[in-house]
Amino acid sequence: MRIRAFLVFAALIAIASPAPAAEFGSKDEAVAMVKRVQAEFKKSGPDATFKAVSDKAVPDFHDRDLYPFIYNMEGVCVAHGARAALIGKLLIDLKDQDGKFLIREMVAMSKGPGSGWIDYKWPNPLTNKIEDKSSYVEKMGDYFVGVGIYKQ
Amino acid sequence: MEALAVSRAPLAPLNSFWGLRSLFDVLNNLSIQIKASAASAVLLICLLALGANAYVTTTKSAEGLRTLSHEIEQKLQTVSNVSDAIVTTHMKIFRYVSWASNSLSKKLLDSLYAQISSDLSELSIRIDELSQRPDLSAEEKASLQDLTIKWQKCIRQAKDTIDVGQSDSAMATMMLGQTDDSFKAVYSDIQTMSLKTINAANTVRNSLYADAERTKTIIILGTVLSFVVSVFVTFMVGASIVRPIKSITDVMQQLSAGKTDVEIGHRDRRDEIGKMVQAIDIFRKNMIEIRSMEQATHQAEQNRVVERRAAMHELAGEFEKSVQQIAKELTDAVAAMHDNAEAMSLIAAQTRDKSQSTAGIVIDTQTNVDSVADAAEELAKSIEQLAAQTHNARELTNKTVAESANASANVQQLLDAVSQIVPITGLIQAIAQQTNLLALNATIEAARAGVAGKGFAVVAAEVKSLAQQTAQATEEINQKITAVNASCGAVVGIMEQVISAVGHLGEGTMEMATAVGQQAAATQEISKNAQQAADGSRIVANNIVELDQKTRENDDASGQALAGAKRLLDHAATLQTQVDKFLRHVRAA
Repeated sequence: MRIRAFLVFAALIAIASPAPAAEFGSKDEAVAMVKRVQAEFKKSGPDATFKAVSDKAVPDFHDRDLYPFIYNMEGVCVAHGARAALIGKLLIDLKDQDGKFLIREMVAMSKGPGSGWIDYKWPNPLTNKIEDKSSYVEKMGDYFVGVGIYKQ
Repeated sequence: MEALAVSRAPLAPLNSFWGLRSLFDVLNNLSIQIKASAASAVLLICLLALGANAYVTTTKSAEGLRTLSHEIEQKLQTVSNVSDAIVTTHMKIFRYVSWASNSLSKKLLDSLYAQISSDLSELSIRIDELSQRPDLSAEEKASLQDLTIKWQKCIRQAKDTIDVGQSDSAMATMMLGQTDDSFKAVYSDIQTMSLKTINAANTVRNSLYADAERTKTIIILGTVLSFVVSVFVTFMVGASIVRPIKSITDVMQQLSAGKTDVEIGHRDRRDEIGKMVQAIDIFRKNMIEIRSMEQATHQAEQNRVVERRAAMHELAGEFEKSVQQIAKELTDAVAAMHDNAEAMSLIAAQTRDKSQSTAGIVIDTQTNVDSVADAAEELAKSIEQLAAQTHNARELTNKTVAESANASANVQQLLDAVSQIVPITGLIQAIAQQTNLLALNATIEAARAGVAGKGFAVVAAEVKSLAQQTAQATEEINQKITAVNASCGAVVGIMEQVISAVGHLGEGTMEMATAVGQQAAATQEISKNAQQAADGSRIVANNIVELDQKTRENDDASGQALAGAKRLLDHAATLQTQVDKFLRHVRAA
């Protein structure tokens, strides 16, 4: 039901959206969204940021197939722009179809270089199909925030 | 046989070992009671040791089995249950996500969700219970701690997965991977834990098996050892008791057979056998002593006998000599006496013969005198009787005369009486005739009467017969009376002749009585003289009889003296024989 509602909603947005540059978001747009979350995080603090990120009504953090996701360093999802069910779930051991521990890599990326791109497979919220995804991840306080693009 | 020979032989090979030798010394000095109970005691100790070992082992085995059956198996069961539950729950989560992805009815999904939630809670409780078991080893505890941490993560991920599955099946499918891993990790741990428990059980089992094997070995070894030791102890004790007793028995048999020079061993032992040997030694010494005493006594006795025999011989010789002398003197004396007695007896016999002949003569004389006297006396008596008879005859004659006269008178009276009977007979004859007539008449009358007078005729005939008989009898009486008359007349004549004869006889008798009186006087004179002669010869005869008596007595005395002398001679001979016999005995003794 929710998924259907979401789909209808997304379709409406897509139809209503007057100027999308393309059907899917680009890498730059993903990075820009991460920067916006960082800004929000700095401005409003974690709780407000998590709420805003998880709220699909906030356009700054929801653009076509782009959405941010925030995890703490233990791998617990604290905010998710597309899949609210994941909020509060421990996903540190999450593997994609190839067996890649993507959350662990993200944690490692955040703790190590602080930011970077990670490729993995993830279900597209618009189609619910597993697709190749590449996400930009950046450390944000005790958390890290990431926005990914689905490779077409 | 071989064993016996060995046991009989001295224990030289055993003695060569110092240990055994000292053991034997100790054993020899123990009392037989202790020795006898030694084998039993050794066996008892072995038995007790075996029993104690068996008790300990069995207790341990029981404990191990109890652990195995109560603790380890239960634990294993619990672990197995947890393991099964994990697999089941894991599969349910898979099913849930699968159902969610295939958009099954919410009702079914919710039911499965509830089941999974309940399963997870229950599993948590079970794992918690398992980790709190008191019988866990340190290893198990460590692995359970590990498992508990892993389970915390696993249960969170599982719950996350089904939670996500409620709204986002794609994401839930994605999350299955990590849940799978967690479950696998937990499952792996629980398997490890299970293996460890199984290993522990195996360890206990192996230990039990090892204990059983060890107990078996100990029992076998203990039994063999007990057997060997008890055989050894029995042999030792037997050797320590039986051998010396046998040798002592031999010694005692030899002693009882009189052998005092036997060698007695085992003197140094301090047990009953040692004491027995000492006692036997005392017996032996006593025997030797008694024997020597007996020999001494015997010798003394023999010496004494020889001496006594010699003395006896000497004494007998002397005795014989004196006895022979006495006997000779006695014999001589007796012989002399005998001769004297014989002479005396002879004289006495002669005297007796003479006196006897004298006495015979005297007696004859006396008898003659006596007979003369007697004859004279008898003659006198006859004469007196004759006189008396003569007197009687005279009186008888007188009496006869009187009686004859009397008889004559009587006969006269008889004649008178008879003459008076005659008329009576005449009367009777008349009556008889009359009766006869009457009978005749009666007969005639009867005949007239006929048949009626027949009976009367018979009576009349009878009466007639009677009358005839009476007539005959009267006739006979008349004849008799006539005869009597004649006889009486004769008698009267004879009587008269008798009376005259008796008168003559009376005169003769008177004359004879006078002659007898004269003769009696003469005869009395003769008888008196003969009586005097008889008295004299009687005195002589008495004297001679007295003499004869004396002579007879003298003869008897000399006879007795002779018999006595003979007896004395016999006695002397017997004495001589007896003395000889006695001396022979004495010399032979």
